[in-house]
Amino acid sequence: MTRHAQTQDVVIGSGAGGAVLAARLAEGGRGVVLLEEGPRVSRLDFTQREGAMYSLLYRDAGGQSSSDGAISVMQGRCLGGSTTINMGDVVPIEDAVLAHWRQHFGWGDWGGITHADVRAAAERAKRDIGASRIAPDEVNRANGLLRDGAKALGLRGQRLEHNRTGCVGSGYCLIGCAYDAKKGTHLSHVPRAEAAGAQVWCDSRVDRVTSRARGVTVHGAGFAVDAERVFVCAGTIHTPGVLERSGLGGTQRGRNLSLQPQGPVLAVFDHEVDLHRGIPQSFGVDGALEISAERGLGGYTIEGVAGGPAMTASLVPLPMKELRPLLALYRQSAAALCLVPDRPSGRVTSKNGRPVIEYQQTAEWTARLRSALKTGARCYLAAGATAVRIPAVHSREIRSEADVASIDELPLRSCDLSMISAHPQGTCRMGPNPESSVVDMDFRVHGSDNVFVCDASLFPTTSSTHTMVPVMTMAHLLADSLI
Amino acid sequence: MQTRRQILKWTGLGGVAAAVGWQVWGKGTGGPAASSSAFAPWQMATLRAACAAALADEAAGIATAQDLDTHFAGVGAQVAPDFALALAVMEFGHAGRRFSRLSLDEAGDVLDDWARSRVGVRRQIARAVRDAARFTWFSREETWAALDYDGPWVGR
Repeated sequence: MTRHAQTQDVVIGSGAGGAVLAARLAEGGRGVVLLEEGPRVSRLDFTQREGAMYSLLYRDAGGQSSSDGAISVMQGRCLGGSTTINMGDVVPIEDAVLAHWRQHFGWGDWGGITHADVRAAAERAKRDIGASRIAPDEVNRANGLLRDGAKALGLRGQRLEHNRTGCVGSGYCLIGCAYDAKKGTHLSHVPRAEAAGAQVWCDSRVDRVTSRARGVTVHGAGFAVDAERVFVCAGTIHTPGVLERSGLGGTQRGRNLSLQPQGPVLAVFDHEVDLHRGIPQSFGVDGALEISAERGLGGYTIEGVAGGPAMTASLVPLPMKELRPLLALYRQSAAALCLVPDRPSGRVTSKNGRPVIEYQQTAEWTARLRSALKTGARCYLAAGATAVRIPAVHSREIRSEADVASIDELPLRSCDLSMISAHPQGTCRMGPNPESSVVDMDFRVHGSDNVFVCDASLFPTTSSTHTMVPVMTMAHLLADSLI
Repeated sequence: MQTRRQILKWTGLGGVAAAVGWQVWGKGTGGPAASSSAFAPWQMATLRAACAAALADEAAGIATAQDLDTHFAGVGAQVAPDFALALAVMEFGHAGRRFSRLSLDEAGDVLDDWARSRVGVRRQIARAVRDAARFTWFSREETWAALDYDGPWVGR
């Protein structure tokens, strides 16, 4: 039997874009149905056991990847979307990136939206999630070693901003905060939406949107919702599929994908580090990050990271005889991710109703990745690491500066290096011209009056090193224009 | 050392054999039970061998293969066909005996060779199998002592 409802606004996706929109629209007096494909989850569901939690909270149980298997594309599939399973980093869109879009992607004066408006929306987003800079005593030993190594080398770095309040330091951020300290949208915005009268339907995957007189109908397995407007916030990888199944989006739909892939660096020390406890990502070495109106985001940044035993073991592609001794030093290890902003060089298509993520590493990007990996290795050596390892099939132990040069010869073909993406962007880029964009400057899909998009797929190029607040910013700007 | 043409020939033959194997076993009486197993018995043999090779331990391989079968029969059902195809290529797609009939050391050597291969699809399969096996095995509490990992805080 089909569950049928009528409302004013349907929002698809409860992540950074959808949950903010749902809350703002509902609080603005609109009738809202928020549809989330994944399960309704709370801290009571977060067991801190990797196997069960990746299956419960992640798209494809954490197995979503580029079509060549080279890059794991990590995405939440639960209430709160990726904000439930992210590292909680807060990094707004820089003015120079906005200027880049204005100058090179037709954003022009963006209908009167100024940089000050964007900053104000970002500040509002940050207040909503209780953003603050990580305190010095919240930097765990693993991140402290990265900091110390960078300082010894004279490299610029800083403590990151985050969305935690009352963190107890369990270290399980990536598989759901069991203490409600990390403020994902399942805590920050979904309750607000519900308090304002929004209905939140979980386990509700949207198939397509059809037009009807004075509105749309949103169809899914076992349900249909009639509404005046629909806001598609299913994320860079899945919003194109919703539009495709709805016959919307034009020739640019799915194109211009950026993945901002990240390559890891592992280091071993002669003392306990316990990288898996405390805030996993609290310090970033950002001296090489380049931000300009001419080129947008470039260069690279290096940030501390941690994973549990299962994730760590699966990300080190060495034969077992080499992996076992490394795992035995788990508590003496530190790790970082080299985040290298990319230019759009991929696309998302679909096959049998599932997304196919096609992506090509460019030579220029690979060169920057090598630079980042070398810098990461140098930081850890400077901090006193006894050995550094790049998690790549052909990697050798790095014990000195002389060994760092081996990274230049390291094969980096697809699947040679364990890479992840947590910030896919761009597949429904915003722009005034339907020939080069999917969504107009009012967030409407070109050619549609009442289908909107609001997630990271909007960004013409990489918006930021971490996309949660940029997406929330866009949601506030859209809500401001409608309410 | 095999030439590129030989490698592609075997990989292509593997693809053909996989399709044949699927037709004969995947859909026939040897096929998977309706909901309790994602893979046919012959695929499970390959999976056990692949997991054992990835973990360098036969007992661990057996346990991990069972866990993976359960996973792919449940929440992983949508991607199970892709993984099944990877298993088929692994089983039939290299020179010599079927992968599931290799010794532990031989299977480990094949996995290591494929991880370093010039052929992208082999690297992809090696990575997929290794990642899946290791993630699954090290999710088990019994493996944590070797890492001196004290486990979750919740429930203590």
